[in-house]
Amino acid sequence: MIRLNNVEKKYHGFDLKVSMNIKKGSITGLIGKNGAGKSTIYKAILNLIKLDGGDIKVFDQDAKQLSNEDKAKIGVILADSFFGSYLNIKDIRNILRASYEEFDEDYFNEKVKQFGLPVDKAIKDFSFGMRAKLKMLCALSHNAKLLLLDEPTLGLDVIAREEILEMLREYMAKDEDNTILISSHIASDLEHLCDEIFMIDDGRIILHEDSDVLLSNYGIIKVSDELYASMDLRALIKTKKEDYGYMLLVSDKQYYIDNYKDCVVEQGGIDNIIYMMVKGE
Amino acid sequence: MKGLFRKDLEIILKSKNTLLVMVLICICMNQISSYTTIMFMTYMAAITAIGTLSYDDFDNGMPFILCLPCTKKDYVKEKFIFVFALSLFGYLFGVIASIVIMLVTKKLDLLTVFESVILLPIAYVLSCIQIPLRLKFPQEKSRMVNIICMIVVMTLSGIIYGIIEEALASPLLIALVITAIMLAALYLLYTVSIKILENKEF
Repeated sequence: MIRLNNVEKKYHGFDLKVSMNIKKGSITGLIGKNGAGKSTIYKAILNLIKLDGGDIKVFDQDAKQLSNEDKAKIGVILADSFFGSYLNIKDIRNILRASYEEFDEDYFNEKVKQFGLPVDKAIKDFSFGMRAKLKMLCALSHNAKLLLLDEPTLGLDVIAREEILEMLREYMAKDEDNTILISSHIASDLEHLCDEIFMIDDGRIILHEDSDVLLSNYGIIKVSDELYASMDLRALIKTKKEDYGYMLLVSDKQYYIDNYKDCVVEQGGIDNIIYMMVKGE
Repeated sequence: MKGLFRKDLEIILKSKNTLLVMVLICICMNQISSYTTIMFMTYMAAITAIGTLSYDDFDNGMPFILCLPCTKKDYVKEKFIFVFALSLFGYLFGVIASIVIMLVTKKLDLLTVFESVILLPIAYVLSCIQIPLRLKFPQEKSRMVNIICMIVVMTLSGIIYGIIEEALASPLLIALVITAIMLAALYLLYTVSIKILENKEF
């Protein structure tokens, strides 16, 4: 669905160099801290910035040459850009109806009612949660085949985040070819939603793995200096020296649980894995 | 592009009060002359249309707008068409308002109304100078650059008109040459605007 091939983008003090392949029918997570390069990747896909190298294909077409019909199949949430805040939902509904042939007005109205969004109030008077739901609604209500969602749950409370994620599950259930690329700096939002995850740090992809494998096989184990010296490190990915010995990120925690009774396995999700990928050696 | 037109229309409709004030000023301007009324309405309508560029930039809205099913070329094309449409609306409103006032005051002067037709292309082309400026520069800087441009354009227009008037005897030929220059200027503004937007990063 989307292919980034040796994409390069240089800014002052930062440079991005990534290759990614987003498969049709999948939910792909892009996780990284603030400033890692997530938004840059979205802007590159959407032709909002010029590349310094590489190429991007969307729907097997050059991303720079997408037709309006292809763009109509993409639903977008950008972290820091939306319709002007002086507009209200009625205005946005009119704009969406005029922009997209496949705009589903019934779905839009139904969800506006369900979320209790005021149709006559300017967006600038919306709460954070209301604004996030409206952004998601705009992305979902024109039968898009591809969703590009940059930090759609940013700043939301747990309940609002779950409502947003539920909308995405409903979207995926509608059509097996529907595809999502979703980014967040909060891994817990994505770990149970995504099929695969790309971790990005300082403009580089540092890890790419299926979510199931990440959650079931990857793990953090804590060992003493003596144990570390004698261990089989076949599945070791990163290490971090600690006061008690070493913290290890491994890709097969069960092997170490079975063979090294003295090691301590830490319970945790993708957040811990990211921490080790960034801070470990 | 339909979505872009709809967006700009929604923006204009948000300024209902301002439009009402403009209509009242328009009627008052008729005390000076109907020519002034028509000129005022045409220019104000054109400037209002140009104002949609600032609204698009407000709150960093441009990146999202460019994610709608439109190309950057569509965005520029829509602006030029929208400015023309609103300028035309302003011009026609001014003409109709002037004729109505003339009929009410029983001071019919259709020659002035007919002569005012030149105001539409002038207002349109002068307003369109702002499109590439607003796309290139942030709002505060573009205002300053716009003032400088207007001074340069007015001066150049005066010089060029003087040269043409001296060189050509026939008013019809003068009108044709001026029209050709305006069309060329419009094409240049359009091409430059597309280039600016295509090279702009968000």
